Amino acid sequence: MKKELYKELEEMESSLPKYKKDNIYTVSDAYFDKMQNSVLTRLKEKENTSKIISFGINKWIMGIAASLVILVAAVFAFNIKQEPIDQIASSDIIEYLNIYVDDFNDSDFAMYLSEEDFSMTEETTITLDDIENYLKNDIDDINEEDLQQLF
Amino acid sequence: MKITDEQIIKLIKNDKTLNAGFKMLMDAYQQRLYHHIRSILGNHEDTDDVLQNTFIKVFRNINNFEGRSKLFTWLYRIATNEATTFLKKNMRKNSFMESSEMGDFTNSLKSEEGSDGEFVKEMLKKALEELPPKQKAIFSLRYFEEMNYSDMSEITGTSVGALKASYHHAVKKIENYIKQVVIYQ
Repeated sequence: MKKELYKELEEMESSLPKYKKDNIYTVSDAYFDKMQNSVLTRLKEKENTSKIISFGINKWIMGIAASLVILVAAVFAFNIKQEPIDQIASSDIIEYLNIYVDDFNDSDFAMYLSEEDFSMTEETTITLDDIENYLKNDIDDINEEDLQQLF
Repeated sequence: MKITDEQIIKLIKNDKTLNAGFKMLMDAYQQRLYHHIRSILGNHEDTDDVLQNTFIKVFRNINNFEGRSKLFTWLYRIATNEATTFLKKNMRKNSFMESSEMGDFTNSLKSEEGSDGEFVKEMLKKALEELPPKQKAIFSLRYFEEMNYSDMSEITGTSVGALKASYHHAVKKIENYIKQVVIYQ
């Protein structure tokens, strides 16, 4: 592999072979011991937290959340790769989600939802009058900073 | 005797040998992943954060690793994603050094670093900082890790052709940077 690398650099007429170093960043072995302990401690902490949280969440909420995550990931994948979603293996999407689910936040979901996705709110009892009344009564509580963050 | 990736995965997937397996996986890959992440991020503190997050994601998802790809490409893929995402989130607007700054930089290198070897290391580190996140990852995988393009393609999700072009471009940028440093030396 080293030969191939040097040959490639030679073909580019590059001067980089003479600067080649296997490792330009050095760090002590003591650091790695500390890092390993830290990782194992964080894993144990996460394990305990997950157990506590799992008692408090209804299964149907988890189902909806999972569906949303799959929807968002599918749209992300479609946009990034610029190829039809049916060409991406579902196992790849699931693997991606398993690893990166923590990186999604509410705004990510909201960005990729269309009006149709809100059809679950069809049976809402909130009317336009309710909204107008709410705004009339609470307008004083909304400051300029809140509005700037929204728009 | 060197333990194989398959043996490590077997240990991790058995509850009784889980911790020993995790430790072996970290022992086997921590230095290479550290170096790769550091090439992308530049400083030790951020690298430490990202390396820990990488191992945590690996451990939490190891049961989903089906062996369709090699273990090391899977690990590098997670590390590369973590590092480039971190960098994009915390990106400072970098610009090429002005001539006067370049002179200051070479002077500081001369006074701080003793040998030519150290000078070259520092110069490469600084040159790497000038590349965009993904190009840093590509340069690191090829130049330092000496990886083939097929594995790199699996890790970065980029075609071999695009990788070759990006690497070529990165080499030229780094060379130009080194030339500037040498001129001001």
